[in-house]
Amino acid sequence: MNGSFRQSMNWLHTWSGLVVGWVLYLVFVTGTAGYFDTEIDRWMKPEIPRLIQRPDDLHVMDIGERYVREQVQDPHSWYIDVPSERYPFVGIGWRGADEQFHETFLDPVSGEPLTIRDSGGGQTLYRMHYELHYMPYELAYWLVMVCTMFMFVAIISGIVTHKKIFKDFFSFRPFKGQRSWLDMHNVLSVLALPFHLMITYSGLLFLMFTVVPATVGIGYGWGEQDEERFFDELFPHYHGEEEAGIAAPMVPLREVVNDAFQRWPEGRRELWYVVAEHPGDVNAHYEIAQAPTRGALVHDGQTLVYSRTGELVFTESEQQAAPSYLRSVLLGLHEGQFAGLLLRWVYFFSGLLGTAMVATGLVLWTVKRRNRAMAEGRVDRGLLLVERLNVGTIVGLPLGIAVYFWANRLLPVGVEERAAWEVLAMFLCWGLSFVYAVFRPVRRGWIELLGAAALLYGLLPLLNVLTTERHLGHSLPDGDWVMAGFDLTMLALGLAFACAARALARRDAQPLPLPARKRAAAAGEALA
Amino acid sequence: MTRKSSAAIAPLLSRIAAAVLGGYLLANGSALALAYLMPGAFATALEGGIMVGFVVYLLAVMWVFAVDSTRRAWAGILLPLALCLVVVGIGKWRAAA
Repeated sequence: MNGSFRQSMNWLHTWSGLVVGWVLYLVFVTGTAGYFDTEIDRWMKPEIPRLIQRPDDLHVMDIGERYVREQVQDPHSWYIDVPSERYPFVGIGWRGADEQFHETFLDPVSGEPLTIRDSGGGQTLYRMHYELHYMPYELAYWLVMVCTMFMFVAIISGIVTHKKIFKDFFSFRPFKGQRSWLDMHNVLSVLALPFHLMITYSGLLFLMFTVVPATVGIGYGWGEQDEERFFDELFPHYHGEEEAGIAAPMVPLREVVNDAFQRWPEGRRELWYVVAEHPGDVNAHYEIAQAPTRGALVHDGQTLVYSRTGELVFTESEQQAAPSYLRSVLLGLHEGQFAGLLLRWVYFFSGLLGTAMVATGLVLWTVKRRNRAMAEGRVDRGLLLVERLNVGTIVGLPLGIAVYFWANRLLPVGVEERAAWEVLAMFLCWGLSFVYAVFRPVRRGWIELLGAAALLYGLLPLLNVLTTERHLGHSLPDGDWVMAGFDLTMLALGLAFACAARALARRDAQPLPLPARKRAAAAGEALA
Repeated sequence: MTRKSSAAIAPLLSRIAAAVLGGYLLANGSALALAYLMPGAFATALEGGIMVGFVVYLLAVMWVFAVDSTRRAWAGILLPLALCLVVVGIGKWRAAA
């Protein structure tokens, strides 16, 4: 504002980052975990067996169809999800005669239902990064979108603030107080800058239609039907007939799947999932979805719609106009579904860098303010608030997630609403971390909560030994890398938290230089 | 930018309003205007317009906090917004005709 362009952008960067920093931190932490959502699912649901060999698609159709026919009474619709490397089971879902959604998992070879504990798994963490929790999803979408827009402003204004972005990248001066925090924030931000830019802008594109209803309103009209017309134009899809209530036989699933295979080139005859709408009704239809090419950035599978009698009635178009294609590319980059194992780890580490970028930014704000408050010898209420929010969130949230994993192993398997209890345990722990942060001196709060996080993460593999058969003693020799990878990652996290706690405790042990101590005495409370 | 007296708060609030609300309106307006200007199906043009709209929002916020008077900050939002509305008006009129 007043002063140079760079100064005003620095101001904008500081404040746009600070106001929403804690929400962004939650989004980064849970979104990063989301890159391993199914792996976390499998650790939290250890009853899911390993998939040794991908079964034949037609075999999967047979066992899925048999289950629906024999176990489900008059569903309005059902789907069969085909197993893959990261989803090693057959998923069956249906909307029953009771209008409720039901889901079950089958062993991909025997077709027997799997008994799996009720757990939120990695999916709950993944969904939290855009749906938050304990609130209607529309409100959460708006909140997350507002915070993401702030982040977009913070990133770009952060970049233009720099005179020498390249040089800053190579300078790190440790143990120099504010200067070190600034260096660390710079390195973390610049190191994964393409990732941060991509993830923020594409993040905006996911939920964009939620936040600009007026554009559709003015362009198409304000009614619900007008909105539908817009989305129909944008994403052409099959409009089935309503359920007629007249029973009629359907051709076996195998028949339409075989027909779909005939239409797809060799090497692409792989299913993704199949759906039956109004099964057993005269207006029933099948949707047969082709699996995307392995490693494809934009989904390239075709969906074929077949009538009850087995005629092809609709082919979902693969052609996309330029804006839609660009959006698909960016969404694909954001989700990373195309990524193989190595690239998935790159995504995970980039996410961690983003998390650390937000965290160091929040800490940097308090370090600057504390220096000034000390120099001026006054109590700074804003500083006291942010310091507490920082301890309570930057350590409290990961601590809560550790408790989420502990709850998964310790809650009795038969408990009602088990998945909800797991999440409640997480939020209770996070909430208690705030309370703890308020009642402890800031630095002690950091050290003690970091220590607790180190213990809870570091001991998770041991808890796994005590509560399941699929612990490191078995997973490592068996080459069960999903289970072993989770346990080892938790050990590494425990170690990282322990190192952080130790580094802080060590600096605490060193006496402050004399002038600083004098000033501290003058500042009184502000230093506490 | 140290402590602000209450007299300095009003222009700041005005700028925040220009950035957050004005920027939001301009983002919507530019998305629609672009949709009417772009060739091809209107739905995908609007999709593209909204994608550009986020960048417009970003630039609007930066503009508001970069210029040295509050009046210029608002002018930089309202004039482009008026232009967008004219384009949208013509676009709707031509679509109806």
